[in-house]
Parts: sequence; structure tokens; C-alpha cells
Amino acid sequence: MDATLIVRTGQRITAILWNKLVAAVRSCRVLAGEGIRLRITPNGTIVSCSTWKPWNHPFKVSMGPESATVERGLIDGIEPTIDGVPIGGDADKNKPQPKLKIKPPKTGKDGRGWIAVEITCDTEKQWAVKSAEIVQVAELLVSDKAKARHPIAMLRRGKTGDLSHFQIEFFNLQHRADVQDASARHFFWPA
Amino acid sequence: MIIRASTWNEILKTLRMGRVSSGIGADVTHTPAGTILSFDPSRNFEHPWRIHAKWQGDEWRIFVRAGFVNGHDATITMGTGAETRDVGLTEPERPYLVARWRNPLVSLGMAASGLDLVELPAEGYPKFFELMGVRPAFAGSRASESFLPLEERTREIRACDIALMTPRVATNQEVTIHDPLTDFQTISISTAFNASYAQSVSFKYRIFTVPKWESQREPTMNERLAGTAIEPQTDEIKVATLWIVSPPNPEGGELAVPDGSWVAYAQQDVFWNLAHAPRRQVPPVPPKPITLRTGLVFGIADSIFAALLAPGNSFYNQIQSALNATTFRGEFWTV
Repeated sequence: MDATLIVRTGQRITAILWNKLVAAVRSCRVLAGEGIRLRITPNGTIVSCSTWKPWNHPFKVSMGPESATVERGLIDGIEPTIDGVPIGGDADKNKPQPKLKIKPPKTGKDGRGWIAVEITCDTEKQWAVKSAEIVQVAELLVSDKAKARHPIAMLRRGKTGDLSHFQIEFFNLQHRADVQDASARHFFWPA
Repeated sequence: MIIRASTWNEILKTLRMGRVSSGIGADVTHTPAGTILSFDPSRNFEHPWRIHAKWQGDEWRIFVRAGFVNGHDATITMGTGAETRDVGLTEPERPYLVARWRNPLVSLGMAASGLDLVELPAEGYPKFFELMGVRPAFAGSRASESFLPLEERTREIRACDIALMTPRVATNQEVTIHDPLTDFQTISISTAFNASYAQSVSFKYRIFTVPKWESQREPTMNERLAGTAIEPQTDEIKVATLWIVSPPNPEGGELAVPDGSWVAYAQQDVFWNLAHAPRRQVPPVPPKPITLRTGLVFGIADSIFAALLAPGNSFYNQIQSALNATTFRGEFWTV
């Protein structure tokens, strides 16, 4: 603060002093910088932060009118594929990020379907993940016990046919299987 | 120089307009030396299960952002009586819960202490609310820690818990002690499934609200062996606690009931989508009964059970594993 603004008892408030005070008050006004939103009211200024940046987390689904893309994500270190191309694209083979066809969407009677990662386990090698593929399905269960589907996003078909999606998975994944004679349970959790 | 009142007031107006208060994603702390602004963009992140409370229709309604268990959206039971229906969190209808409050400021009840009955201390609340001037909870141990004088702490606080449940298969053991023979006694333990609750409801995963959620009590080995075990028919997890704070000196004082003038604060316990599975696969039929032949002839049931469950007993491991194999309690975990 300008030290010359501090007055002593009995000191006259001159025009110069007053104008300095006005300038000091004006300099205290709040101005919006990048990513800052201000709402100025007679009783004060409300400051909001609008620097929201989208979080490009693993397995993030982005919907287009006919297809969806899935951000790169790993399951036990393996990158799933769409039509044989890794979901993040393959720069070495000059393949762009692949698109998953979602039209017409496969949904159940309740209008719910999923974009899921379908893994295939190697039953000869301790049920480790052998391959992973992104699929659009109306059902998460699979009859082949060496396979399992883990939901990435839910698709909801509305009454008017409109399609909305809800992200379910936000992290890279690990997988283990609990194998019994007739069946296997597949467990997924964040890596 | 003459300063006119209008000029003076103009400068005051400019000063007042410049006083900063917090909006979305911003924190403002006023100090005598200036105002500290902090920004946290992550506060805008609408994570799964995030709760929002609104005063609507003369009640506090709790809206839950869509959360998933095993890929399925949880539901909220809407309506009353015969018109109840389970509405998914992804439905456009936007289902909601109605808050059911508890008072964390009052004693939790009475307990015996020697020959005396004593009032238990209150549950209390997070320290954050002290700074807002919430009245000290019963037993007042927190009062001395506050920098606010007690006379300035006149706000009331209430709370309500939001939890998630899924039906599960419960089991009951039936223990038969056969007539003793000359040198041994036969005991058989059979297990029956109880899926009556799971069969009576249409939901898989349901969000509900209770004044105070308590984790479920699983029966002990002794109870299982004695056939008195009552297993819960649901697996549950707490999703969040909603705290609500009154204005200073609310009408009704200690008995004040939250209305639209109160302010709600959410304390989340779950931030991500979940998976759930029983600890072991549920077989299509209950496990076969186990039969034990003991040398404990002529014992009464209680003493036989106590002897069987003694760690040194040769049947101990067999009984433990047999009884453990008959519980299908599940676990939730983050995915």
C-alpha cells in the first residue's frame, strides 16, 4: 500500500491525497483473468473458477453419431483392440484411433446396453489375459468361461430412440480368475 | 478539501463491490492483510454417487449422480404403498431420496457404569462445522478446542446417511445332536439357504437413506454352531453422509427441524463405481451336512459346542472350514 495515504490526526485531506485514495480503491477492483468468472453485484463480487479441463482418463468413451472411440487403457498391461487395431491407434502401422460401430445399438428390453472390454484368458497359462477387445453388447454375461466382459460405459436408449452414455470405468485394470470345475469368476480392479 | 457525502458513498460502493465471495470451484478467505483466493477445478468433477440435496416440496430431497455396481445402475425406490417402483439412477425421471435426519448433538443413550447409569456422549460432527458456529455436541469435549466463543455457536446440525444394498443368499445352520452311544456322540450340522428377501424384491442394487447407517453384524462361529445364527440377507456399504446446518439461533432451538433455510453439506464415502461378489461361489444346492463323531458323551449342547470350538480340539479346523464355506457374504470394491 502507498505509505503516503496514511494520515496523522489533524492532517488536512487534500485533493491529491483523496485522489490517491480513490486510485487505491480502484486498484483493488477484482478483474477476471484466464479461467476466472466474475459476477459483480452491489454487495460484492463472486469469483468462480472455470478452468475445468476434460480428464482424458483410460477407457474414456467419446460418442459420435454412428460410432464411439475409447481412450487408450490397459488391462494387465494389454491394450484392447477394435477390429484388430489397438484402441489408442497404432502409430507404427500408421493406423488412427479405431472406431466402434454403435448403430444400431445393441440394448436389452430395458434400453440398456454396454460398451465393454471382452477378455480371453489363456487357460494353459494360469488364466492370464491373452487378448482383449472392445465390444458393444446387450448382455455382460458370456457362456465361455475363458472369456469375461467388463463394462466400460453404459448406453441408454431413450423412449424417443435417443442414445445417451454413462462412463463406468476410469482406470487401467487388473484381472484375476477364480476357477472352479464348472465355472470361473473373473475379477477386475484398478491397476 | 470538502468531501461530499455522495462522493464518500460512491467510494464505499466501489469498495463493497470489490469484496470477494466464493463461487463455483473457488475458496475465499478474508484476512486483515487481504483476501486469499484458492481454486480447485477438481471440485467440478461429477464423480459417480455424488450427492446433491435440494429443498423441494417442503422436504429435503437427495439426488444421487449415476453410480454402477457390476455395470448396472443402482435404483431408488420411489412412491409409497402399492405404487412403489424402482427407478434407475440413469433414468431421465431423476429419482430422489427423502432425507431422514438424526441429531448428532444429543446423547447416544444410557449405559451402566458400575452401579450408575451414565449418559453416553453424543456422536458429534466433523470439526469443519465448529468453525461455522455449530452448537457443541453433548459432553462438550470439543467446546474448549474451538476458537469461536460458545455464545457464537448457536447453529444446529443434523445428519442422514445414504447407503447401497444388494440382496444376498443367507444361510441357517441346523444342528442335531444324536443320542449318545457308549463311547461317542454324533453331531450333524446341516445348512439351509434363505433367499426369501432376494426373491421378494425386483432390484439388484438399491440406494436408500437412514438416519444412521450401521454396518451389518455377521453371526459368530458359536452362533452358527448352535443354530441360532441370523445372517443378514443384504450386503451394504455407506455411500455418503449428508450434514445440514441451520442459521444461527434457529426457531425451535435444540428441537429445530431442517427446512429450506438450512444449508446442506455432503461428505462422500464412495467416489467410484463398484463391483460386488460373494466371497465364494453360491452353489445351486446347499452344502452337504457335516457329521462329527465326538467322544463327548452325555454333554449338554452348549458345553459340546464350546468344546468343539476350542482351538486345540481335533474338530476345530474341520468345523471352521465347514461353517466358513456356508456363508456367502459379499464384498464391494472399486473398479
